[in-house]
Amino acid sequence: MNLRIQEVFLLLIDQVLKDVTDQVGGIRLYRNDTLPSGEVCTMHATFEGGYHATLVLCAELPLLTRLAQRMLQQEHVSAQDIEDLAKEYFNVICGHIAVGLFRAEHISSRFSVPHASVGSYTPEKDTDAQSVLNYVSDQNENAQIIHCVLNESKSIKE
Amino acid sequence: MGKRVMVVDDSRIVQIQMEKILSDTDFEIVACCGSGEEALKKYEEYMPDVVTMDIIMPGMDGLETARLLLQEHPEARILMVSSLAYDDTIDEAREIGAKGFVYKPFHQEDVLNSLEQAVGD
Repeated sequence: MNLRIQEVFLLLIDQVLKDVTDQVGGIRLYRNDTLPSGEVCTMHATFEGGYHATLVLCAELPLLTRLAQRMLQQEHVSAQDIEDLAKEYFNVICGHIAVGLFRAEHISSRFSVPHASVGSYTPEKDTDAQSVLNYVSDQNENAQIIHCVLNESKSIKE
Repeated sequence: MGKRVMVVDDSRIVQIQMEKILSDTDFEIVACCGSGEEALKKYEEYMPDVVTMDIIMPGMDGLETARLLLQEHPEARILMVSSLAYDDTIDEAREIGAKGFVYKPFHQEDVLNSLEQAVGD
């Protein structure tokens, strides 16, 4: 895997995560070093085609709750709403990353249907490289995104 | 009578958003489908005026669904609604015969304008 493309991908992840979170929920995210804690939800999807990588986003539930409230324009949201929101939010993030990758490097990629579940997730070890970025919101909610470049013909197990 | 819309998206959140956006408009959601396979079956049952179609879905993706739907029903008006909006995808959607493309995350105005355009063509 070309290192420069991985760097482009990481820059895209950073920009897209901040932009989409702002667009979807009006929430600003900032880079920091604090890990998510307490109740979290983990989303993941695998990129295929011209770029092979798995992206994992772990976010504290209060952050996703606020996003769900904004997206659905209602105060009360259920656990199911939050899980469904997490999938759709991550779907939009992956789509924007794929678009950015195409525009920057002319690499055409698709991604698997995103999965989301309550709890944390540890990527398996079939990866060549991992990069981790941590974020905090304007209300002190934390999120972490992990970019795993996959070994040839391998993917992270569901 | 309002224009009849079928929403094809595996996300329940998008289905709820669409219901909110289209309430009190000239559009009425007559069916929601969570997969391409379901959309192909339900189209014949409901014969909607316009279909909104996601791309990334479990099983058959939205582009393949649109292709099959238009082969069977060339009169179908399909509006792609996806975050996977790069040149190749948009070109492919256009070649298949989709009437337009709405980018996620979407705003009410974008959806309504694109639906108006799709049914007006």
